[in-house]
Formats: sequence, structure tokens, C-alpha cells
Amino acid sequence: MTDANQQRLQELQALTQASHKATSPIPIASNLLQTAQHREPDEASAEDLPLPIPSHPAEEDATSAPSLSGIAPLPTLLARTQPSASSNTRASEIANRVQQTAAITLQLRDQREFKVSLEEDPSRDDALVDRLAEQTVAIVQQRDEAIYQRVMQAIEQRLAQEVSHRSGF
Amino acid sequence: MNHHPFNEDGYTHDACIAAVPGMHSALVFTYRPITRDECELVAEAIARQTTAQSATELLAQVIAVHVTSWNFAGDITPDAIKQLPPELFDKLYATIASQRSSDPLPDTGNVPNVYDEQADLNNLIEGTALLLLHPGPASIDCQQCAAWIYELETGQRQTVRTGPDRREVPQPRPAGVPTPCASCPKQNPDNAQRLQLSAKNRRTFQLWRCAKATHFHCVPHHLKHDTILARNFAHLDDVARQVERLQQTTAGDRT
Repeated sequence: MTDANQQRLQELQALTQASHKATSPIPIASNLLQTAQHREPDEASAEDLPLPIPSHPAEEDATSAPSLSGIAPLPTLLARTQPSASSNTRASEIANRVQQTAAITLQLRDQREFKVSLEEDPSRDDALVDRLAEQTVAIVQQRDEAIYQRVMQAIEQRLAQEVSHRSGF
Repeated sequence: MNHHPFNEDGYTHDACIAAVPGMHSALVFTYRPITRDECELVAEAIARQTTAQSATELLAQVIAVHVTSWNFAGDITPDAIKQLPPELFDKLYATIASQRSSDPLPDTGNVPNVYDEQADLNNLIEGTALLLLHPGPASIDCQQCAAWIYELETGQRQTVRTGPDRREVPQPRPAGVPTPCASCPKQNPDNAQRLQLSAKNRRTFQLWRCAKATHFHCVPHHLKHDTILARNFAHLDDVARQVERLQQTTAGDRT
């Protein structure tokens, strides 16, 4: 084989052995869907996950058949939040927040305000406050609607009575 | 056999190799990217070759399978590809193997993205899981959710009866009322962005649904032996099976 041929062969071998753009292992569905379950404790603080993490199948054989059973809330499946700061910073931040008061003020369109707060409860969580706030607003709105319905009904009844009374004369 | 030009899976890429004066003219082409597994197989096969001719022959066959159209005269065949100048030949392989970015397309000036196998797959699997498990939240746009009260389960805007004729109108989100991110599977707008199917993956998902509904009759002939389509459909089947199993388990728990 001539030198030119040999050189061209080496070029082609180098060309095909250049790395593909994907540098880490190609994901498979089961791995991706279980990612949240296999996060390291440092990465996955309770603050990251608004819903409780299901029981840990970390001891499962990695090659076993993929399963979503027991991990119903999708948020845990899809919660692949990036660790933003060191675990030490996060721990001290959480410790400080335990002493604080979580409060949120809700203002409805009619200017009524509702203040929802959780005080000095170590287990409190912003997610819980948010959910509580949502539920409070929903309850108030339902109650408003019910009152409105009753008032309308009373007015209609009164109107009907008035009309029948007048027509009676 | 002709096929419907729009019945694609979104994974056919555009690319351009700019002209080199005195060497070759600009090559504008479309291609199906080579997956990483294929790249490894090709590399192994080329490493076993003992002559430049046989290696060129083999690579030309690989390129001919993956290039779907080009602006050069004549059909895309291994023989035609072998006739390309070596520099153009190498750039062509490097482009379809995602080792090299395309040059700007002559008609638009845009530079097409390099095929990112891992990012595309992540997006396809996670986006599909969200769509199948939580179609309601998946259909809500986060910006809209910040402006209006939504029924998270159904993905519909909540309405309120107002005015003398008690007409139902969408209810704006009152000031101070937080968005339901805490109960939403997407969790926050950034995560929602990540979980939204990309344009190409939306097309793949639609083609997969149509394929299942038509016993694969709607899959274009030229994609029936395509490795990317086969791999993506296999992943989508996996996700669908797991979601189904999860829903059965959840239904069983309720009863």
C-alpha cells in the first residue's frame, strides 16, 4: 500500500473515531423516570421536593425491569432540580428559616385581605403555605358564590311573590 | 415510493457545507443523524479495514444511507459520494455524525443546531411522561397560569358568573394569590420549559400516536428502517407502558 493510501486510511480512521457530541451515556426511559429516586441526599433536600419522596428502591438491581409503581406523584419523577449551592450553605439557610415566620397575604378583587401564616413550626414548608393559601382562596370564593346564589334566589322569590300579589288584585 | 412530505418525525436535519474556492461548491443537504451507537459500529468497522479504498467504500455506504437529499446533480449513491473531494467527503461524514456544526444555510443564513442525542432523548421521554400522566397541567402555559385561575386537573381556566346576565368569564388571578406551582407536576416555569416537548419531539410523538392508531401504515416508507425513529418509538412505548402500569396501580390502590 502506498504512503498516500496509508495516510488516507489513517485519516478516515481518525475521522470515525472522533467522539460523538453525546458525551455521557445515552439515557433510557426507565433510568430517566427513576432519576428523582436515586438523587443523592445532598442534592435532594426536602426543600427541593414539594411532595414526599416515595420509598427508596435504591437497592434494586439497576438492570431490573423499570417500574413506576409506588411513585405516583410525577413531581418527584420530574423534579431534577440542579443543586444550586453547597450543602453547607443550604443547611444553614434551612436552619435560619426554621426560626422565621412564613406568612402570605392574599388580596381578593374586592380588596379583602387574608393573611395566612405558620409560625415557628420546624416542619413548615413554603409549598405548604402556598397550598394553604390556594385552598383558602378557593373556600372563600365558593362561599361568596353560595351567598350570591342565596341572595339572588331570595330576590327572585320576593319578585315572584310581588308579581303574583299584584296580579291577584 | 412517494411519501407525504409533512408526515415526518422532525429528525431530518438541514445542513450546509460552504464552498471552498478551487475545491468544491457549496453542498446543501438534509440528513438523518447517525446515532452514537452507529458511530461506534462504524468506527470499529473502519478500524478493521486495511486499505483506504475499502474504508472509503464503507463510509460512502453509511453516508448514502443517512443523506436524504442534496443540491448536487444526480442521485445520492455510494458511488456518487466516493467521487466527492476528500475534504468534502470528510466534512459530510463529520456533519451527519454530529462532530461538526453546519455552515449557515444559504437561503436563510441560519446555522442549524447540531444533533444532540442526549438532550433530545431526555426531552422526548420526560415530556411524553408529563403529557401522558398529567395532560391537564401539561396543557397549561405558565404565563397564562400566572394571569388566570386554572383548574389544574383539567387544564381549563376557572370561570366566574358575572354581570346582569350572569355570563361565565375567565377569572383573573387576584393580586397576591400565588400560582399553584406547589401542586403542579411541572413545579416551576423553568422546569416546565424543560419538560415541554421540542418541536421535533412533538412531531415524533404525533407520528407515534398515528402509527399506533394505523398499525404503522402511516409511517413513511423511507422511515420504516430508520434507526432514530425505531429507537424513539421504543422509548415512547416504554414510557407508555410504565405510565399505564402506574395508572393501574393507582386505580387498584383507590379501590
